[in-house]
Amino acid sequence: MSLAASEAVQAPTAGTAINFSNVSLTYGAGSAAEVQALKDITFDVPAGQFVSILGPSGCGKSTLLRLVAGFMQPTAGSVKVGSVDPLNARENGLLGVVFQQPVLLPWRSVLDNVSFLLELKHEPKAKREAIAKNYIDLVGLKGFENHMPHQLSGGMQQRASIARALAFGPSVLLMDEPFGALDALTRDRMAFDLLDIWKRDQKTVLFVTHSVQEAVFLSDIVVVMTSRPGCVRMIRPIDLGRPREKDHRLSQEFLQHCKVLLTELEADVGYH
Amino acid sequence: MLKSPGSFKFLGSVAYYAPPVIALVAFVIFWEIYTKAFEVSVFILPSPSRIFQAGVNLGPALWGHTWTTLYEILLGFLVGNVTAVALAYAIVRWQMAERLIYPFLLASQTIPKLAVAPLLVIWFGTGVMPKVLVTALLCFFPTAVNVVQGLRSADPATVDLVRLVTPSKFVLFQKVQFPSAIPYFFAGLKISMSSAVIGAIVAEWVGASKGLGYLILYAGTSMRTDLMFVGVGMTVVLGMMLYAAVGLLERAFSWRREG
Repeated sequence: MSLAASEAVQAPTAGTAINFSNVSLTYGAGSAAEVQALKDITFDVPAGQFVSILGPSGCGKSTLLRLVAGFMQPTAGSVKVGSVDPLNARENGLLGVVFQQPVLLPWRSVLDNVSFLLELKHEPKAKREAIAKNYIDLVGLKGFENHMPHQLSGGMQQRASIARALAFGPSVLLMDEPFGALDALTRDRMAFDLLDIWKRDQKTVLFVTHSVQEAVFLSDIVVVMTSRPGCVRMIRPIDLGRPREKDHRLSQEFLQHCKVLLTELEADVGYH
Repeated sequence: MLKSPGSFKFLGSVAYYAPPVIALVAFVIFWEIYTKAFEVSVFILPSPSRIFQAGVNLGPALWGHTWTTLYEILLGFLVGNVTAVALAYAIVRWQMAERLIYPFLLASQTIPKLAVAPLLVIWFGTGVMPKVLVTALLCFFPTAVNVVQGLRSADPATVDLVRLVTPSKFVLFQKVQFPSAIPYFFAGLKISMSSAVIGAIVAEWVGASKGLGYLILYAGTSMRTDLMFVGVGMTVVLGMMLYAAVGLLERAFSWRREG
């Protein structure tokens, strides 16, 4: 099922940004405590598209991101970023990551945090600060360059962390429940702004979430994962058109997508 | 005329420090009156004025004792903390070092310092060396434990972030672990400084011919209670000034200044 679906969405795109091919991950293989975290994951993330992985807690969706970032290796199958493996992609600066927490360095200003990764890449100071300022503007933090992280709200901190990921200039942005720690209103606002940023700064986004509405609202494609072991249950293209407006969330098609995805999720989790 | 903001600030800090200063002054006055009114024996509890007079009578000798102890404290503090930071770095950097060093680190804290001081005198004589060693032994532990914790305090996600760009362990240390550890380092230094003062005084008790610890011991054996108070009082003043100095260093070099 997953193979057929992924081929269907792959056909009209320019290329594949991320390819999962029969990816499995087993912890403690061979021992009594063997746990299969991921089983036979196969799907493609087309270049330039916004793809969400939707699933309950503990289904291995974050693990999937860690595989793409090269922080972990699959026990079977392969992950490719473009045409290279994750470690190669990392060396070439193709990957950007946004975590659930902003993980800003508390002793650095917003400007120094956003330019941090460029500093590690030994970009000259003037150049990295110019790039950082550009992205600080883009995420709506103009005027806060010299603030310290503790002086910002949670939403603003997460904006800074998105600016940091973008300033690094990756072609693929991995986002691990980036709005999970924010309150509902801020979370909605961030979703709008993220689409705005994404529109101007066309990148492939692989976005992990457990919110059905968030996934449908943001994505071109939603991949539903189920747990124990984590595997792909459904790959659903979201044909709502762009730009996405507030009203989209009340449209019949939007609710229909949500309903279908929710049914798949509930089939796995069960309703008690 | 309006007052400048500077003088408001000055008045503000006067208001801040006034209660403890007033309390101290009141305590000294009460002490003076108490000893006079009840004619307390100088041997039991000398009056503040008597203690002050004893200090003045000592004259330059008092500065000599203070200088000796200060020298021992600072040298022991330096040796202890340099060792502490080096050990902490090794413990965090190499797993083998942790297994090797940690048990000895803990054991070093259970050594009764006062009891080994005579041994150090046998080995190194009655000069500065044994005092510096006891001081270092007493004050390296708080720093070592804090720096180990500080170096490990970096968020694992931050470590991932750096790994995304470079595999270099040195860059990780330089840009993340080292700055993360700075507030922990200063927290350790403060405890370490108070321990250093105790270390130097205790070490002088065992075998010394000068220093505030020696002065206290000498005064005790010759029934000069007023001199004992001079020694103890000077130690307290010295300890508080050194503690404040560490606090100033912290304000100058540490980043956790919010809140």
